[in-house]
Amino acid sequence: MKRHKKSAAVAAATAFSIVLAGCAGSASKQDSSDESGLRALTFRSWSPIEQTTRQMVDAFTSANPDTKIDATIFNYPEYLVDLQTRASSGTMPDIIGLQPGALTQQYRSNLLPLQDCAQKTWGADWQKKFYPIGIDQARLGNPAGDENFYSLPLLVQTVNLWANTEIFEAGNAQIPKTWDELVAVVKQLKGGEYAPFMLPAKDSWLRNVVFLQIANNVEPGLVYQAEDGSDKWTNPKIVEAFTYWGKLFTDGIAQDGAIGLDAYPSGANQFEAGNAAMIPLGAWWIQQSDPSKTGIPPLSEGMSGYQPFLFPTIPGGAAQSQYVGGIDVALGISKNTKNPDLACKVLTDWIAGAGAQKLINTFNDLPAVTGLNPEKFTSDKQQQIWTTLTTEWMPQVKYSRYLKSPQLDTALGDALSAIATGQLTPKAAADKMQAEQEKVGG
Amino acid sequence: MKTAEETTTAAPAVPTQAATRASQPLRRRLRWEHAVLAPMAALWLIPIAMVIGMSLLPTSNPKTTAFGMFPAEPSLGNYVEIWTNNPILRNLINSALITVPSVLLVMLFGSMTAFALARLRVPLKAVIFGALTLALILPMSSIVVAVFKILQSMGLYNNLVGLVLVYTALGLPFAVIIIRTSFLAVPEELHEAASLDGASKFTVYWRIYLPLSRPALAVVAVWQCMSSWNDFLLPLVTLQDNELKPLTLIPLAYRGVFLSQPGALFAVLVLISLPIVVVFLAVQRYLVNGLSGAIK
Amino acid sequence: MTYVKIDKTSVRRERLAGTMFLLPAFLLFVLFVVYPIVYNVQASTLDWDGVNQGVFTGLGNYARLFDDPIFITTLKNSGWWILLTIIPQALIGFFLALLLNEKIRGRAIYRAIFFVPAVLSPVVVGIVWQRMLDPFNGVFVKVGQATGLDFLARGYLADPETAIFAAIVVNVWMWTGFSMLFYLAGLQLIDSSVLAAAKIDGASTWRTVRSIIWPMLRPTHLSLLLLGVIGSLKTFELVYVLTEGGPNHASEMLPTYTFKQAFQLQSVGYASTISVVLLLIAVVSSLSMVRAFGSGFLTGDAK
Repeated sequence: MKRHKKSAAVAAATAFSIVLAGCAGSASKQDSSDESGLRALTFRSWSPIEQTTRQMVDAFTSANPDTKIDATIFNYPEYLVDLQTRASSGTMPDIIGLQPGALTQQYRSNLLPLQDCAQKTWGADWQKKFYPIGIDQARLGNPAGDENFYSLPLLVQTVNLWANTEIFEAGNAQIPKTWDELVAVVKQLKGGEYAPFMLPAKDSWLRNVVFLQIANNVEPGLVYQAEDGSDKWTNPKIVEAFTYWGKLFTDGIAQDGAIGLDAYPSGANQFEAGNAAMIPLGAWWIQQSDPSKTGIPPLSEGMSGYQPFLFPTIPGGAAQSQYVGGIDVALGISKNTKNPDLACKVLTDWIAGAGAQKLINTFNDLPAVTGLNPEKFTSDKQQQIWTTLTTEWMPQVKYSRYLKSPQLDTALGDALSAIATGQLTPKAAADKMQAEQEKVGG
Repeated sequence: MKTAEETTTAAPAVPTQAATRASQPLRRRLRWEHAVLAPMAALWLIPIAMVIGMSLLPTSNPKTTAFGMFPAEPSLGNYVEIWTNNPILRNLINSALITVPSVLLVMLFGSMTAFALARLRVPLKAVIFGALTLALILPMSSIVVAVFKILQSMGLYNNLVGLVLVYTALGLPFAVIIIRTSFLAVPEELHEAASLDGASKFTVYWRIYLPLSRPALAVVAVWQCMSSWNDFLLPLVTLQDNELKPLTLIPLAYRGVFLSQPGALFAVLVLISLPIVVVFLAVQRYLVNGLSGAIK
Repeated sequence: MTYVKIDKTSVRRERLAGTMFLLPAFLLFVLFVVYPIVYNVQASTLDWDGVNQGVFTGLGNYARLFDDPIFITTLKNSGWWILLTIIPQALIGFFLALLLNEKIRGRAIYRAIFFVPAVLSPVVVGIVWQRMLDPFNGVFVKVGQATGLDFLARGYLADPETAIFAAIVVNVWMWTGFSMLFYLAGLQLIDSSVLAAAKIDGASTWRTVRSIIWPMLRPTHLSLLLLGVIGSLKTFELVYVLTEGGPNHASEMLPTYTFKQAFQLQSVGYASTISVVLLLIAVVSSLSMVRAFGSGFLTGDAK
């Protein structure tokens, strides 16, 4: 008898909770789609970070009270799954985050060309507003004759090294400008509690940006010619670049186990905790000093403990270190959006309007447009670093931080990993890259 | 529950007799068990302690101590931040609305299927069982697009019911395998006796088999709870409204390529795991001599 | 009702009942399992990026598998994973279950401690273990330096020779508690007097365990074996967070490789092909288990 009652209760609970789930599901569905009078947009991306995005959304919706923006920010790999599913089933968000090149090209047929929107908002010479590398990369991979902009850059960046100046001062060391100085400084700083050169090389993107800095310092621009097929990966200069990459590991420059450490959170965390003298990251590191954040660690407070510098020159290579960088995130608009004009308004606001100001106030990364600065700096050092990055470095960036094709980008990451672990010699890695190049190209 | 424990204590005459005799060595043996279990538990706890340690890592001081396991300056700031920046309660309710029905449905449908496979004459038993393994193997990332399309065509896009159905379907094989094993251990005489009394198949299943397989149902409940509670890919893709989002979608915002708040990420992931630990603690009570006691 | 009448009508009625019992599961199964499989099989014949129109290539993607060294690595890794997770997890789990089936103090706490790793998100598990194993600043290396145990100070995750095994160790840590849970449930199916007998007579405990309890748990072993094989084959998140399949694909598993192909390399067709192969391997291995352990494994008739 008792048991009977119990089972009836379970059955009732099941039925009830299903009905409840049903109600919750359908009820909310209604209020999102036809809420009275509100023009709604959806935005999905992996960048900028969630808290910043919220401020950008608020900036726009408070200036345009008849609009509603549903923004979802999440991790890049999951973002790719989500985007693919939605694009293939007619539920693509109105505004999406994009990387230039392969990702933009994959969705090209689902995206609106944006040059008209840009021209309408900023005038005929709108392209001058942007850093040149951003304009270059926005059309990366377009088929011949297609001059459309399927995405517009939101944030750009340089890739470079950062030094912990406290460690450098305490060790009485100089920031290295050449490879030999780098080797000497690492030797000088060794033996402490910290790693002289922390290389969080588990991530393929990080291996690639470090290599591209080395390669462009060996022979500026050569890698991209090899990528186009107008030169070869087996060119001795590229093999030399691979050799220098390998030296980071074999000559004791990188810390032990570098190939197993991820950049985020582990590497970044250790650097911020003062466990490393140098780390290869990029301009976005300035976001550590974002004044809107609570609880900034001492090193990051007003960037007091950091100094950016370019990857040291390579013996026999270019006399000056080269600037490598590119688009961090670009925005695109879905072809199926019900409100193309509104989407254009949001997009341009976030790139160069009030939303952009909010974005830049958090030092999330460098703006894609020139002349946009944070309203408030927390220290002179922060301002000085910002000025260096935006007015000296970024305009000079000529070389891309990634390769065009995802196949080659992946193959490069694999080859670098194989060199680092001693599975491939630099020569063999170059051969492999060339083979991959011919497979992709042909 | 009560019946089970009563029967264990009142169990066969042999142990009672022996218990008095063995009370002295018993104490010594208990110590031996702790001597093995305690160090193992300590070993198991190290990474768990580090997870908790990192969730207490304040953004203002990323330095650590105790071999890097614990923050130099622990704080609850991450939990506060998670709590203030997210509609945790709303998300928690959504998670429960997805998980609870799917657990109940899996237990119900799974045990029905298991009963048919264990005790009824059904055609193509072997084929059915083999096909079940198919559902076990499917990784979410390979089926998410197809599942999305079905839900869309059923009008269940942006609807929690869709998630419940998918998790139930994917959880069934596990449930069937586990529950079937325990049904098989129920002596067939019980079944026959009941049938002769005129009980229908359903009554036999509901009144005899189901109550006897509580330990197996407990395992299934824990497993199903974990898998529908923890999945994030499907809700991410099939839900549109923020009001519908479950807890697991919060950590995604703290991951990102430029993740600089591992403390917050860990805090939210610890929060998400807590309810499952509670469920486990509640359910593990059923893992005491259920069957052997109840039959006698 | 008499015994004579039972034969025909009751057989028919039992079949009907059986069908009714199977129906709900069957419907869900067709919708959410069969269709995705069909979808994957179809996609596996295409050269397709998942968004734009695909090009039919027949069995081209399948032919490509044989030339793909990374695919071969994933098969090898899956083999190691199956071998090195199932056996230790079963042994340790069984041992823990035996101890924790008795009424000892703190039983619930012990059970919870061993089980908690299975509950944690693979994301935190991956990040924490990566930190512990980091040879520059990790817990292991520091403990190793403090105690002189040099083997603790190696970069297991950074070495292509050992990365997969390090991931397996983490997996064993994570899932042993679940095996324990299984054996605990399995032990409940054994008559308590058998267990009690094992408890009293200290001298022959080991023999009772080995020759009575262990064999009586055969259905549990088999379930765990089946789930272990399949769980190993579909390992994804832990490896993805811990090593991302690296260094240089050394710890790549079938699902991590599928994921990379589908979403990073935009080759959904090839990724589907790998998924189909994964399904085939799973079906073949479960069928061969049936072969090896007799059809009683399925129907439960033999025991």
